[in-house]
Amino acid sequence: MDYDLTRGLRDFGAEAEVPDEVVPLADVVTRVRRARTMRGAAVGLVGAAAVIALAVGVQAVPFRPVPGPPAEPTPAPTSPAPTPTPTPTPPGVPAPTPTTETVPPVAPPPPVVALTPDGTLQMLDPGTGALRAEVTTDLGDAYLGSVSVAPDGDVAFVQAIGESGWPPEIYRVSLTDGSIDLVATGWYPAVSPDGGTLAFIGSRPGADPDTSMGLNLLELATGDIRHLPDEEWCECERLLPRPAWSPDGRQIAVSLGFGGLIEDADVTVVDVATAQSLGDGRVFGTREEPEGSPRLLTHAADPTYLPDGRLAVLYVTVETDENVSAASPAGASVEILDPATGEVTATVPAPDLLEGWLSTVGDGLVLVTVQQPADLADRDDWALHRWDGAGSFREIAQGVLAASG
Amino acid sequence: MQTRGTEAALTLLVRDRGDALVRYAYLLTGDVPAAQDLLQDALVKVFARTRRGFEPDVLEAYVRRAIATLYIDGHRKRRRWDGVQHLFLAEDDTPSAEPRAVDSMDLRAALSSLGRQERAAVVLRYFEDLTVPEVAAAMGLAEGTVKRYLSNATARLQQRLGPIAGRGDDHEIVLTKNAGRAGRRA
Repeated sequence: MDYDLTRGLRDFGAEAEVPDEVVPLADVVTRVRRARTMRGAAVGLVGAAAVIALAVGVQAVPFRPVPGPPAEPTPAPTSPAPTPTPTPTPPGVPAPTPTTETVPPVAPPPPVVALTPDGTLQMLDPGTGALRAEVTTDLGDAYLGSVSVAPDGDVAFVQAIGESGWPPEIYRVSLTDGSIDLVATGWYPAVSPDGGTLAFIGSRPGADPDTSMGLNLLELATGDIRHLPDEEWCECERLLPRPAWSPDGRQIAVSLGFGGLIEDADVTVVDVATAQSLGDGRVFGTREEPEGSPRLLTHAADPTYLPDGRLAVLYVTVETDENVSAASPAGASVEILDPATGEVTATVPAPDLLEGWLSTVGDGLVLVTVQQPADLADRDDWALHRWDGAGSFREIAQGVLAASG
Repeated sequence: MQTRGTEAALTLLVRDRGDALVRYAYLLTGDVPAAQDLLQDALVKVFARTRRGFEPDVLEAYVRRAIATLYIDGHRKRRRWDGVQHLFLAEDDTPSAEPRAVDSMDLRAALSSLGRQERAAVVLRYFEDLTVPEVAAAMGLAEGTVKRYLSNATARLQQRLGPIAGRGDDHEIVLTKNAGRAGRRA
């Protein structure tokens, strides 16, 4: 009589001595939360009832208010030259100068562009967080994520998860009339300093997003995409968060690694002109934790460039023996790295946060923090903090979630 | 809220179907702790990206599929899987509570002689009762490749178990030259 393999398999499974607790549920929940957090950081899933993203207009073109006044005295279109700070602000000035009319010909600092849950783009004063103007879009029904403002200040690129679900879509949004058009699917749009290239995380064009992932470089003028694969990508706890352009546009920093210990997260810098894959990048900021005191990274290391070319990286960690599932605020700090050596030249304590996103603004940084898991957060859980290049972060606005570059 | 709903669904699924899911994973791993780890990873994979609106049976199907794909793709999991991979290479390392039927012992040994892809194909085909095209879709392989895996696997299983009752489309399976070679893990 032939062997009944189906029955044999059923019997084989039935005889397994499965303990009452089939899996440690608390651990699984913890891992799910971490994975969702990581995924939010790694591949942009920031679904929430109140998801706001924030972008920083780094280049010095004055913002045009919503109604779009015909013409403003545009200061010479600041070409994205490799000069560190295009803003006319004197070095060392702690940005909060809300510009007075009495000062000679000093343009107001470019705004921080914040995206609200209802799809409104708000232009905030980068020093005070005061609302300057806003424009509405049709993205209010989507789960909104990352935003990046083009250097001309006319458009922003917004990540949104809408009806089509996974992967998210990236829209170009007019900052004058709020009109949108789809430009790509992927995560974490970041416009190059010259405005010509959109970097974002995504699969190889035409490939299944579950089978490949990497850095895509979309030439906005032609639509051509160059894909720099993450050759270690897998459907696991792989980290692949936001790309960050260097001020001269020659390099892109991205944090790579596997979820887990902080030392497993590497900030990799790839040369835009020559890199064929993310593996070609130089690794900075590899943290070697002392023996016996490993720290668990609860949020993907988030790099961004300062205007002078230094790298700022946000680390959010807990002690490995802490109960991550308690979702208590973790220890967070921003480390400033020498781009040549990777050496940590300064450490800036960050406010209490569960998740956070760094962005460059003027000669400082802004940090959006959230005290709840992103999925649970209400608008009031988000806060915007500013660091002027010295001292510590100070809160300048609420109801703003971060992301940008 | 999305996360709370997700966690509630996760809790219910583990409570109601956790045992069955571990047993399913056990078919692949042949080892209970490894099956538990595999289930954990599958749950994380599914629930880390699950959005609202999935029925429990749909979620279970997703988890089963994730178990299979994670098992198949185990070699790609640099970190987690390296730590448990030795468990998959182990044979007969789970203590038995009672004397088992000869069939069961033979099946364990026979399964352990299969490669990862072959074993997954067998479980999907004979336990989940998927058609060859469905197995191919689940494994992300061409149908011909699945047929080859099944062919090799059944030939190897037959060495230990004797003739195996065929499936409806088993006539499509073509034995290959390597079908009778010794199991690489035996």
